[in-house]
This record gives sequence, C-alpha cells and structure tokens, in this order.
Amino acid sequence: MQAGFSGELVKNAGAISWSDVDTREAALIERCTAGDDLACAELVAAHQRMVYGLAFNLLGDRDEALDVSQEVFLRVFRTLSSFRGQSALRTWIYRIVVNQVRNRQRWWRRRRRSDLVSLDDHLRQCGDVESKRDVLPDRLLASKETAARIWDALERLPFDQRTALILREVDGLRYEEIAFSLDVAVGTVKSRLTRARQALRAELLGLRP
Amino acid sequence: MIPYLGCDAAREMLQGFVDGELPMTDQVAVESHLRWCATCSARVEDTRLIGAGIRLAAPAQETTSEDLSTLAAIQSEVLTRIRAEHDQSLPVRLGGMFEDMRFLWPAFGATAALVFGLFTALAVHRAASAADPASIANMIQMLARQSAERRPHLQLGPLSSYYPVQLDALMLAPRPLSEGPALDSLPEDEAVFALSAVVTREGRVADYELLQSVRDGVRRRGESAALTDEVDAMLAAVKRSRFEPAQGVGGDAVTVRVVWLLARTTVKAEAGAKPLTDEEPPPAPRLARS
Repeated sequence: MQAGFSGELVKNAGAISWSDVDTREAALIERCTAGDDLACAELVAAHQRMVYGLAFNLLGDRDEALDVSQEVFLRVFRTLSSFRGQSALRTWIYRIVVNQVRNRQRWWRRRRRSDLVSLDDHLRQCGDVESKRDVLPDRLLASKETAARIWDALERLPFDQRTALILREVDGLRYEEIAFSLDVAVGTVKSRLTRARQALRAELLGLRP
Repeated sequence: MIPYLGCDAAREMLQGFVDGELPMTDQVAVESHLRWCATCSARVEDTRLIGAGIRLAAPAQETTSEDLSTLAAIQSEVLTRIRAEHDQSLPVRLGGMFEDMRFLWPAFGATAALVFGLFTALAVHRAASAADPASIANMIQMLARQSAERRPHLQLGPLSSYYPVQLDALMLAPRPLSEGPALDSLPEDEAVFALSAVVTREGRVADYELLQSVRDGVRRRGESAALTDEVDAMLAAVKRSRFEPAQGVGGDAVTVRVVWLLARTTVKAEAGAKPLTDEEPPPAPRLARS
C-alpha cells in the first residue's frame, strides 16, 4: 500500500520541453482563432480531463464540475485571441478554471458559512503543530479512510490554500505556475502551501490513538 | 563541499525540498541534513504522505467512463456553440460579403460613380455660388469693404454695439419699423444711390455714408445745390430711421454693416401706347442689401 502513496501519481510539469510545446501550442492556437474546428476539438481533447479533474477536485460535485468544464471551454475559446503566450496554454486554462470555481465557491460560501472552520480555530483545537515532535505513523495512512479524512480536512481549508495544495499535489504544478493560476506572487503560494500542510498535519496528529 | 545545515534552517527548506523547488546546492544540503536528523526526516515523510493521501482521495480519481462520455457530449456542444458564435462574428460576416466576386466590381463601379457625381455636384455648386465680379452683390460687398476700411475707428471690439459684422445669408437682415420716417424724400429724377450704414443691436443707424450716386440731373448746371439738399434730406431720413436689429444664427441681435442700393426708375410709355391708368404710378425705391 505504501507504494500507492509514492510520488509517481504527481504529474511532472517540467518533463516536456517547453520550446516544443510553445511552437505546437502557438500553431494550435492560431488554427483555433481562425475557426478551425479540428483544432478546437484537439484543444478540448487535450485539456478536458485536466479541466474536469481540477473542477471536480475543487468543487467535489460531479455535475457542478461538468457545468464548470463547459463554461471554462466557452471562455477559453472566446478569449483565446487575447492569449499572448504569457504562460503555457495549460497554465492559462488552469487560471480560468480556478476563477470559474472561485465564482461558484463564493455563492456556496454564503450558503455554507456556518460549516466552515477557520484555520486559526482549527489550530487552536488541535494545538501547536510545531510544538509536537510526534511523527505521523505510516499505518494511519494505510487505508482509504484515512485518505478520506485528509480530504475532509482539506475541504475545510480556505479556498486559496486548498486550491494551491491541489494544484501542487494533484496536478503537479510548480510554484510559478500555481502563482500564475491564482494570480498571486510565488511567496504567497509558498505561505499558503505551508499553512495548508500545517493544518492537515494537525488534523492527522489528532487521529493518533 | 556540502554546507552544514541546522534543524531551524533545514525546516524552512523542507517544503521546497519535497516539492523539488530548491536550487541544487540547497537540495543537496537538505538531503545531507536528513541523513542524520530523524525529526526532519519524519516531517518530510509526513508531507509526502499528506500529498499521497490527497491524491488518493481526490474525487477526480474516481472519474468513470460515464463521466467521460458526458464530458465529451458537453464539449461537443461547446464546439457547436463556438462555431455558431464564430460564424456570427463581424470579421467572418465581412469576409463572407467578398466571397462572391461577381458583386464586387458592380459595387465598386457604383461607388466610383457616386463619388464622381458628388464631386461634380460640389464643383457646380461652388461655381454657381461664386459671385460674378459684375454682379450687384459683388459690387455691394466691395463698397461695404471700402467703407469699413475708411472708418477703422468703428472697429471697437466684439462687445461694442459699434462692431459691425458682415451680413450673410444665414442672418436675418435688419427691417425698418413702421413708425420710422419713410424714405419718401428721394429726388424725382432717375437716380441710383449706394448708401452704407451701420445698424446697431439697438436698431439705430450708427454710421452712414453715401458711397455713390448716379443721377441724370447732375449734369444739368445750376441744379447741384438742389441735388445736395435732396441727398441731405435722404440721409437725414435714413439717420432717423429705426430698425428691428439684425439677428445672427442663434437669434441674438448683432450690429451689421449694410449697403442699400436705392434706385429710382421712371418707365416711359412709347408713343401711341395707351396708358393703363389715368395717373402715372408713383416711383418706388428699391432696397438692396449686403
């Protein structure tokens, strides 16, 4: 089981040569903006799982994720002519996904405000993480139930921390790409990841018998 | 040589180490620290296990084939909508207008003909509106210009009621009021007078000048004194006259310089012609303005 938790599931964003991707993407974008149906279909096929996956992970709802996927691609094609290659196309699409999901989250947050627990409250309940020298026992993660509890704790985090951690751990984005997707500085990304991981670690330490 | 790294310094770098974001030297230094520090090694392991737990529990990991088929249907709909929007976009519609070149050349010829017609009409209009040097209008304008040049003291500025502007076709000309003295003191002989005057915003004649007079009787000796009296009487009548002031485009009263052309013409019947009435019709002065 331990092998299943290795880093192999993380997509390596730097594995592809960016110069090759840029050339290929530039040609694809040019064809899409010219109205080439095949190019549009190719762009959708190349990114639809990524878009749907991120939306599903952030929203936690299948139907909502499908709706967001549709909105994302509509927005992608409507604004593709304004894309100037300031990032990889994939990162640019990530940014659109995050913005679309954030808009939905705002509506949800108004409805579920009472369910949310702030990080400070959370840390106060679990104690100071840094003061504890305990280490998470591997066996705690040796089941899907534990992973599910981690996810539950993740869902209680603020949207920006949760998004940064999902983009890092699930989608394998580098700090710079996460910063572009969230439209923040790289330092902000680091601090959000640190706080999110601290909160999750505190949650897991509370699982100890 | 690998630099020594204490726990405090190493702890700051653990996250970057796990995420592979450290420079090579720091990466090596942290690795070296982890070989002997069990606490930091455990923290690294915690971070990795949390990441693995997230990836394992992520809902998107459970994406089914049904989800994918639904997604494909949705994306097909997206492409249909985008295609429709693209077809309705302005550049595409403009491009479609030039697809059939059969209509391009007739349209081009019609446009050229229209432009040529407009230029021709404009040229004709300009030629027609240009004043003939021998016309009365041109003569009046020339006399008004000469009169203004001879009296520069009247150019007092735009706020003065004595600042005359040129009367043009868009302005309403000053009209004599009924209660003013009539110009009935014209000499009885056939004569033409050009009279320049400035009509102020108050409707008064501020300045007047006899520019030119042509009269048959002038040549007759002994009548020059009588002629001078007649002209003076006419000028005095003009001076006493009251006018409704000229109005500019906006309806404001303006001071204008006008030139009146007064002509007295006697129509003589041919010999043997039967007069239409018993009395000879009274001569009527004609007013011309500029």
